[in-house]
Amino acid sequence: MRTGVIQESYGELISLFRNPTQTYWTWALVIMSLAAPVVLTGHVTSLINGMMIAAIGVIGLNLLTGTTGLISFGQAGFLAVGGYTAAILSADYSMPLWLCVPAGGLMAAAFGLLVGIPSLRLKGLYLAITTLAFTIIITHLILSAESITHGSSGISTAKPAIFGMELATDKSFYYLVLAVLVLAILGSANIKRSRVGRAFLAIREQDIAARAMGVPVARYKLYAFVVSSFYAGIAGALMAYQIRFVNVDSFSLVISIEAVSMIIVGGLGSTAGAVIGVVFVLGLAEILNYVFSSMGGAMGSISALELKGFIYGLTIVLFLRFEPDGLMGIYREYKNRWVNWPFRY
Amino acid sequence: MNWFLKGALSAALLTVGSVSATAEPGVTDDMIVLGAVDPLTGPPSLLGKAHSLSLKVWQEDVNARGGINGRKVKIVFEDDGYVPSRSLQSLKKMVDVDDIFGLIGTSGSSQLAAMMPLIDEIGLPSINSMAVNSRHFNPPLNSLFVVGPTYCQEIAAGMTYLVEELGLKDEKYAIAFQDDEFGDDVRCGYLQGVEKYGLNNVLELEFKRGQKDFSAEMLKARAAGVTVLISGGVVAEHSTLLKEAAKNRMKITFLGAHSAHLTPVQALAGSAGDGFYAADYVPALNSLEVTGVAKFMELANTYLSESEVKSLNRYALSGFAGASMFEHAMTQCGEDLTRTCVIEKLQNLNGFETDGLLGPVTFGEGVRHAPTAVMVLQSNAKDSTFSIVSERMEVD
Amino acid sequence: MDYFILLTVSGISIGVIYGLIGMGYALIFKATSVVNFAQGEVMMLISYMAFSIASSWSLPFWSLLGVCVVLSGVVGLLIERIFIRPMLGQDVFSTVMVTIGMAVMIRAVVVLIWGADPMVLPTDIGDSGVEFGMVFLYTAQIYAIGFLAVCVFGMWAFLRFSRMGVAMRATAARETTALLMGINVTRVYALAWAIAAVIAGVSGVLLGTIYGLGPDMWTQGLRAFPAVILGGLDSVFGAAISGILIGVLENLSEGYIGHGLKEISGFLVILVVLMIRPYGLFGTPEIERV
Repeated sequence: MRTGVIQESYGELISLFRNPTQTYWTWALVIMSLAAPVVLTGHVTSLINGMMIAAIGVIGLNLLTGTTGLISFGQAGFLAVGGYTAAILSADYSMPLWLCVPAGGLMAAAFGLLVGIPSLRLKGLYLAITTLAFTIIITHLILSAESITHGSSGISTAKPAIFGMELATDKSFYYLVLAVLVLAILGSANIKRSRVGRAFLAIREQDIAARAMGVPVARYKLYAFVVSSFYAGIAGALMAYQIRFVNVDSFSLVISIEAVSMIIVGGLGSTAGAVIGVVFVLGLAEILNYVFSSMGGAMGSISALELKGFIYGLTIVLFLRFEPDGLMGIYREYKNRWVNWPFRY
Repeated sequence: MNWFLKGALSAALLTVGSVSATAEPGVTDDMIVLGAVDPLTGPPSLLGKAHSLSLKVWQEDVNARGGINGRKVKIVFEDDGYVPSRSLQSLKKMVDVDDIFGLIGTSGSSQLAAMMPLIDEIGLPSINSMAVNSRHFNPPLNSLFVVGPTYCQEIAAGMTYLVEELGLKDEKYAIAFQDDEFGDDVRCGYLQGVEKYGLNNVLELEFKRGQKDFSAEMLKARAAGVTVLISGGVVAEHSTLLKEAAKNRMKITFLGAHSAHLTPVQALAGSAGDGFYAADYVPALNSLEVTGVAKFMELANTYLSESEVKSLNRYALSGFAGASMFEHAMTQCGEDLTRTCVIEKLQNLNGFETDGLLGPVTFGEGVRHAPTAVMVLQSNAKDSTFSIVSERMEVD
Repeated sequence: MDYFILLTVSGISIGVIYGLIGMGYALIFKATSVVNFAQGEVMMLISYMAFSIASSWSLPFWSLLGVCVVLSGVVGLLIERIFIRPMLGQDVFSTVMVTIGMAVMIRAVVVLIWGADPMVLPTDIGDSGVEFGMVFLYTAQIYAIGFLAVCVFGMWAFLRFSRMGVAMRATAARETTALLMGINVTRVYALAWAIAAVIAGVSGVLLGTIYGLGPDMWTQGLRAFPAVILGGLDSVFGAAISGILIGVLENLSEGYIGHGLKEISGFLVILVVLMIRPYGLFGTPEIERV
């Protein structure tokens, strides 16, 4: 019987993969993801693309809210900045995708620095509401700066293409998004196991104590904002390419709240949890969609979306009530039970 | 990963190829599947519900008449909640899963803009009979047909009426428009009217969609001595403007686009909702003297429940007219129904009549917009009706 | 000058609503350290309930308001009992997220029951109003101003003199100590939620009478955030005053600058104010110990 995973050196403690099993499973997952579009229909692939893009943004939010403990409802704002930057560069300046997407991320990161400044003084819910204000203000700015953003009419982006190869179909776009997502996951995992990640955790637990221990709190808080908004910006840019159209309606406040609910459902602070949370929340919506449409279509029951909204709200409430550690919490509990059976954990 | 990408791409191409090789998508021996994306939830659901109900009426009616060349029609409805990304997602789903032949509901203006690349790529015959914007047809997409004038053309025509019929030339004009595409388009028409007649434009007020309070805006208008206000608000915004003007004891002539031609606008504005003008390209539901309206209402009473009939409005008329055009094109294609044929037949429409629901509809080679003639309606708040006060005016 | 006065007066009449909603936020925050993100939704729910009542029985306005006070109190208690009490002992953020989940649910329920079309709240004060010189105010707007005054005074007296009010302040100061001193903390919480719901309910009825009902009414809750942040999350009176300040500021910024600035001026102001005073104008700074 396995008695547990024993780490014998500091290097092992912070390594990406704890043990060979984890490595094998990861590779299996990667291969499955590579093969997925071959098997799946275009519609499902496009849904998965949406989920993966959301996951990139939510992984970023998780670094900020889950790991550093700074609650932010500003994710939709950063998403908008990234999306608009990419769309403007691609539509008005005909820049290629491989420039537009990172540019979206960088621009959002710059805004992240700006929004991060209040976080040096504000805490908890004051900060949450300030970031919410940022989302509202950024939408307004986009609508007013008509000469740059085309105001309310929105922008159609060029067809996504990378190094001369067109990614117009969902299935080809899938590989681009998958690659970015893998990079995003690796980035997040690496930040968390580095000095920076440990500083984030220290700030989450108690920022005054962290400062007393010599963590430059101000710098790391800004760093968390910048990294998190960079992720959101990348997600926004990819979103612009996927929908091939941006306007402010796609970046409403609801997105910010949804993003926070995703990390909660998945499990605060865990990168895997962030991804699982996205899959769960968006997947639930799709499953309900399917159930309702097979029950007579959107026409038969106009209230379908409201029911979906209700179930979505209920899910958040139930998770917080019964499983505050989210889906990752449930997973860990069952894993431990399985590993230790027949003994109690 | 390159080999893999190529493999996946060729697999994808294969699937696409095999589908198009067999038969026209969405058409079987006894069935035609059409799609409609409409906002069925959220505040604009007022528009989307009426629109989709009219499509339902049309579907029932066509099928009762024996279908189109023996094929029954089935419409798949998708709700996009008025969010462009969801419109695109819904369309993808309908193309992929429901395998639709054509699209007869295209939601709002930005929503259609998001769907346009996909519509163009697959050459999906589509009719926009709900929200018209110049970029839907400028440049034209081969398969997208846009019915009805833009808000810009509509308001410009409405202003022609104000100046030429009502003699409101030496008045102080102002506009209140919301900060979205719709508002911008209304402003475009306003500015055209101002320029055409050399009107005195004293004030332009921009406001946020969904705004509740307009006291500051109307006070500004009062300070500027405004006597004619062009309203670029949708439902609640329009009626709040009316109320606020009445509250401030302002004598103002109101003109709105067809989005003001809705009974909830009257209801919300109360007594202030009497007498305002709305420019529209379809008649009112209560204009039973128009053959098309009378016919439609009879069908609606047959196929819809009482509460459904209550939620009908002008968008039902434009939707029904759009569907009738699509039906006409499909019927002309005969047994061998293909997307190419429907597009060609729609393009050939010349002076197509819809029993007065719309002015004559004409498309053509490279012309995908039929800016049908506009008329002006006036609100009668007491009995919640609108009466037609002008002739149909051709738009520029 | 006239223009300025008009803008200010109409700003006050909007600000009063922000103030009322803000007081609800502040009261709940003061007692339980939670921001109730569903305050706007509770307001919307009650005003729709008022719609059903008003259209079934044609009650005079004051009776309708009375019924709604009772109803909203019950709604507040139910919310506390079903959603909030089980979260006792969990961290604040989780409870805040519960209120967000609740908000999503209420929004859905409202549309499920009453539909998404804008409607008129049929009360017998309707469009009537009073003219003060050059300023015209709807009756409901005057009532709203009066109600805010009553609330401010009532809350002051309640927190100052009543046993329960003192208990609430004690709980706000330090929950554990209050518990040890024999205060029934759960009852204090329940009461805070009930009072906040009543304030939200009454402002909902007034708001519905002035602007009509619509499924986007809850956004007024968001619009009231600047008020409560400016005043300080835990300051009930601060919220009332800041509500009026924000309302006036919004109207002035629109009146003199324009371009839809009024929709964001409140949010811009709190950004500035918070940089100088992180706990708002009247909030208590939190002293942290490690």
